[in-house]
Amino acid sequence: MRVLDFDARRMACVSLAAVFLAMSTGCATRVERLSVDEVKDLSGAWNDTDSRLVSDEMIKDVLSAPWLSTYHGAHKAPPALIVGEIRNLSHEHINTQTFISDMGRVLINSGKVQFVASRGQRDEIREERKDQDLNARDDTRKPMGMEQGADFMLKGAINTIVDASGKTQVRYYQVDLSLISMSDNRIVWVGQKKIKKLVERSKLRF
Amino acid sequence: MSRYRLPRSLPLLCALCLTGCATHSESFRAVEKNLANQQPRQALEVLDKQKGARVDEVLYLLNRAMLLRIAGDYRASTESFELAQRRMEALSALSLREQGTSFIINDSTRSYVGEPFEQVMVPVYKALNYLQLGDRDGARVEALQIDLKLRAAEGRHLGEAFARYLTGIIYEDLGEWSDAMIAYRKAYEGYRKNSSEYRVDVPGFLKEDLLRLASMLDLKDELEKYHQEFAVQNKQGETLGDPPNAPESELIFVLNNGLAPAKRENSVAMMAPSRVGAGLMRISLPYFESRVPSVSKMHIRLEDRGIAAERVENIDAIASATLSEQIPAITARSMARVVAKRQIAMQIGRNNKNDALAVMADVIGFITEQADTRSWSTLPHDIHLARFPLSAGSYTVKIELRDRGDNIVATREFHDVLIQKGKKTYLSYHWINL
Repeated sequence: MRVLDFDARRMACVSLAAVFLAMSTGCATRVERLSVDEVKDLSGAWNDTDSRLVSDEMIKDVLSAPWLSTYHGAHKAPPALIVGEIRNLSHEHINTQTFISDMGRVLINSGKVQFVASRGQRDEIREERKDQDLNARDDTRKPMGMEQGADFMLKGAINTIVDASGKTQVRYYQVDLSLISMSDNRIVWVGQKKIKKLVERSKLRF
Repeated sequence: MSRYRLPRSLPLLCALCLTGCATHSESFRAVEKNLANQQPRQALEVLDKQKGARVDEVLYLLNRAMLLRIAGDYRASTESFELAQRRMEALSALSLREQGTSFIINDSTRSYVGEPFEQVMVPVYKALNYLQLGDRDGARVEALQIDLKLRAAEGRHLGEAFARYLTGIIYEDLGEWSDAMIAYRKAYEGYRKNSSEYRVDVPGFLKEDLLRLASMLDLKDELEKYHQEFAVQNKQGETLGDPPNAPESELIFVLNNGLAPAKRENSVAMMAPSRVGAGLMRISLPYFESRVPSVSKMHIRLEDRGIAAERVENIDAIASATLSEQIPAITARSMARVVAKRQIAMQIGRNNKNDALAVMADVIGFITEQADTRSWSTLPHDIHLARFPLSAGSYTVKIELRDRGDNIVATREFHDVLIQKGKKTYLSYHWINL
């Protein structure tokens, strides 16, 4: 009787394993393509939608603000901008590069503004120029000391205020960007985007 | 009512089965042994091989992050901490399924989410990782996370004092004096509140920080209050001393000393009283086994100058205090479970009219009654900190680890430590000796 019981149990184990195996083949990774404009909030943290909202707002604002026409009127040439530090003073690790490069792309393509390489980028360029000095043909060699100086520096910060009670959180993000004149420290433009989210965590899980 | 007699071989069977059921903390000894041999990479390999159930994922990630940190890979350590935090967040919701399983098997079948103080230690170590990588803004993000965590955390033993002190150092490093002052104030309150329970005094460094910032922010009343409380005396013997000036540059050294206590199991086997059906019962409860490190003091030497570090956190005491508060609930759950298991075994026997099945159910119930011995045991036993004012330059930093009798147990040297002008430089060391 005991032997039979043991066999029956072994059979049950084997069939259970077979069922799990069959089920696991149906649990392959699933990938769904999304439109980049689609809003998909998963954890409530800063995501692509927030970055896009910031860049949309900032682009609209910086191109319509009077600083640009004032500069064009005085200089008859597009101003050169350099990206300075965008400080993350929030409670999350946020990649500020995404909305800054969005802004850069639209501004450069509009033809109204020029960008010069930022501090991080120019070291590599200078290194390459130094290399050209030694290795490139005369007619293709780019001389040192011919860089275009920036007229304005884009600086900014992301700040947050989080209010939480139990499983509910209100997250408030404020992104401030400003353009500062390199010649006289004047702040010629200030852009601001505020985002507020209510995040309610589930009280139960499987 | 059908009764069955216990087979004579039952205790032997139970004993045999138990030898094959090591608790979590027992199987973790191999990892700790490698750590004690100063081989964090090997410890990582052992840990990766032991990676087991999904319910232990948070614990695995926390230990992994700590081992990576000990091995000096601060980036990978931060990533692992990040994953652990995300998982902790997802697990913060209540699972009825796990509650049910833990009621009939044991507490280890529940997902490990970390004790409240362990959850606070995650952003603390992430902040230290960022500081050692020279990313002060990254550390600031973690300082805000520490604040959020402390505000939301439940429980009395959170290790708040050191966490606040670290956030103060981060804010001060960034020149955010008001925030630094608030953090130092809260750290001071934390140390004062729990100094006797955790056996950690208010660090002298923190007192100097409070005096310096109160003076800098022109908080006259507060400065006066601190002077009186600290009974500061300057060289002339006057009651009030001048607040120390802000150092040009500073070396901040953190010693992670030893290993946090290990949770072990205490089991009691007994015969069930007849009203719940005669049979063997077992109650298993966790307890903390302290691993007192050989080192209890640290001195830092730089060229001809020396400074003594101070103990800023006693994780051993915080962990023990946390468990002491939980024991009544754990005991009640264990008792209820044992009774439920007895009832299930008897029901099986009755329904199948088969004593052997009932005995089997009893044995399974007996064997599965294990204490939950999971804890983040790669945390240190205690943390020591030293703030060393310096001028900019490149230094060789020597640390002397001393025992209670002030004898030097070990020394370590850190070469080419670059101190930048007007900045703080962070170094840390994990001393593990079992």
